Amino acid sequence: MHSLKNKDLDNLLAKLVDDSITDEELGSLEKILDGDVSAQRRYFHYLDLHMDLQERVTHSKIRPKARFSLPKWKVAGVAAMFCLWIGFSYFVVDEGAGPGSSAIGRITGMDGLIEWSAEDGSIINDLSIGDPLREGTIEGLNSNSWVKMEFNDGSEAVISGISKLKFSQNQGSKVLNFTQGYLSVNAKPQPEDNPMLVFSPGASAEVLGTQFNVVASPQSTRYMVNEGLVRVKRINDGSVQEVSANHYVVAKLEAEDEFKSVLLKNYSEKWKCEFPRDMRRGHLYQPRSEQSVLSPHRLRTKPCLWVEKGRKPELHFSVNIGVSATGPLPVRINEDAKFKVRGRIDTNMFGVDKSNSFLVGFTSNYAHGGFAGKYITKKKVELSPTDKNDQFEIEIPVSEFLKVKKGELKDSLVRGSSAGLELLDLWFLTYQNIGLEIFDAEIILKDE
Amino acid sequence: MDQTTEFVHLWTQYHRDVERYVYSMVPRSADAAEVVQVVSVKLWEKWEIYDKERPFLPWAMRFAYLEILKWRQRLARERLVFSDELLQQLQSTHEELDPVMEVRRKILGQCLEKLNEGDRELIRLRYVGRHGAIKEEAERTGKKMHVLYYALERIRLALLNCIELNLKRRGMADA
Repeated sequence: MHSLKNKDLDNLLAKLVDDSITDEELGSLEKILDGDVSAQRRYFHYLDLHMDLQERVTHSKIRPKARFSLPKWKVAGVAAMFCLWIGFSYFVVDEGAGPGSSAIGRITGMDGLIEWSAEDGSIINDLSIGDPLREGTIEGLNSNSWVKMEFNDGSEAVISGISKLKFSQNQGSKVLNFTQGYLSVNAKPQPEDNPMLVFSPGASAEVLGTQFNVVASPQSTRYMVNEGLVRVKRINDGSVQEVSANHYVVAKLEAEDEFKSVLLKNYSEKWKCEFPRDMRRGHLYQPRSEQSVLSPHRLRTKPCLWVEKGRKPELHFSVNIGVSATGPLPVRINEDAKFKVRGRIDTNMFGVDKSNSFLVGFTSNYAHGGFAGKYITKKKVELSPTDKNDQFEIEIPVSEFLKVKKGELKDSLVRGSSAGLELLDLWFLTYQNIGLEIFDAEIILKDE
Repeated sequence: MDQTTEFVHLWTQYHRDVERYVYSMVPRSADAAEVVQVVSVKLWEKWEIYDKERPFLPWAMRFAYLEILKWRQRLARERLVFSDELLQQLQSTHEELDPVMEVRRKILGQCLEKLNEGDRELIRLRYVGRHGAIKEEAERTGKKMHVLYYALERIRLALLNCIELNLKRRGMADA
């Protein structure tokens, strides 16, 4: 292939993978590819490289060197521990490929779609309670997923919702790399020279023994401490905050934002979603009006094959909106609260039922951390055929939601109050694609 | 292994290959993700007629190709799709390339090791899977956005060249 043509092709491919290609440029790309096997090869190689880089970063195979430094006086101790660790590793590493070899903990509770993967590329997604875990990455793949792990020293960690936690041991310290979602940790006292290390977007933390929750979103991490003390360091500028019981700190990627431990005297009982911040799953877009002005965001359902061990896979169409998981303050459920939701059902879609109904659910955690349950209700909306639009606005009291009780083959719904629990996220789900779109969701108190 | 477990096992093993293939034919990541989801559902629906004696991946790819064609028909009015002719050409080139892709992916690991820390960090930011990471990096470093995107393009080309060079050394030129 001619080098100039090759340069043009590379340039177009870069725009293609960075989602900035125009219609006209796509036409040019098509012309270059048409009938030119060499260009087509280049096209595949480029796209494959792009996908591979995405996969490697997702699985944490590309990451910057950890910037968390231990105090100098600990270095000697760490060096000694490192020698011991190397010696120990010789016997325990590479006993097998499963999550159970060289186990550093085990699963003590779980639900939903959970996947464990290792750096060697092995992936396991049929985990069960009691399964041992070795170093690797555990992911909650859907909004309803949660998994509770107990490490060998008795420390516990729970991730819930769409979450990703990589856990490993390094020089005697437990290392948790938490990149997304909600994490609750109950750490047993750790050796003073080998604290538990937590890395998350924009921050890292050193833990000696405490109960704390971490909410990681792409732009920031919130550490909320219920017991003990956590030393949180903002990665951008290296500033450190000691966060004690009933305090929280938010570390954002922007260094100019305030980074300060704050007394958790107030939590919120009201909430209003804000896109794109609170979008956790779904197709977010901004339609253009006739005047080509961008309208407010809309979040449209995306398909997902829901797979649970021992059950038939199901096709879901869902959106997930972060509440405490993405907002600046924890949101607790007031028994008199209700959800107010505005959205749309695409009535022009062909071949779907006309019931105009969908499931609404939320995930909750205990106020001091740990998964508390999923709650769900079914909603049917009335769309007026005389109105020109297919939009709806509904209010759903919190008391309408029923708690999901897991069964071996199927779930059941039971009455159970969610009052006082922390609301992690809110989701909407259908089993057929009815083109459900959510414009806006908020929590209001009944008397408003 | 029961039917469900076997399906989940095979889909877990191969879905990334299907994803790569669909992405190369459907040049918008959001669309590609939806096509892959539909493929997974189709495979499950047809699971009972799957001949277990035959390999899973080509079977899955066939469904993927059909779903790509359907997707294309649905969006035919939009310009962001390739023509039928080009799709067919790409399909046959893909089949021919398939055996060497795995080798290339393995070599990529070595090539990434050769990048300097700054380039690795830029790659990480670009692919960490969130909006605005590059923009934030531009604001943080005072560099212009397009400069960072040019840098990304340069890094990708360096990686491609590194892979090609390694293949030549192994006597696998033009793979």
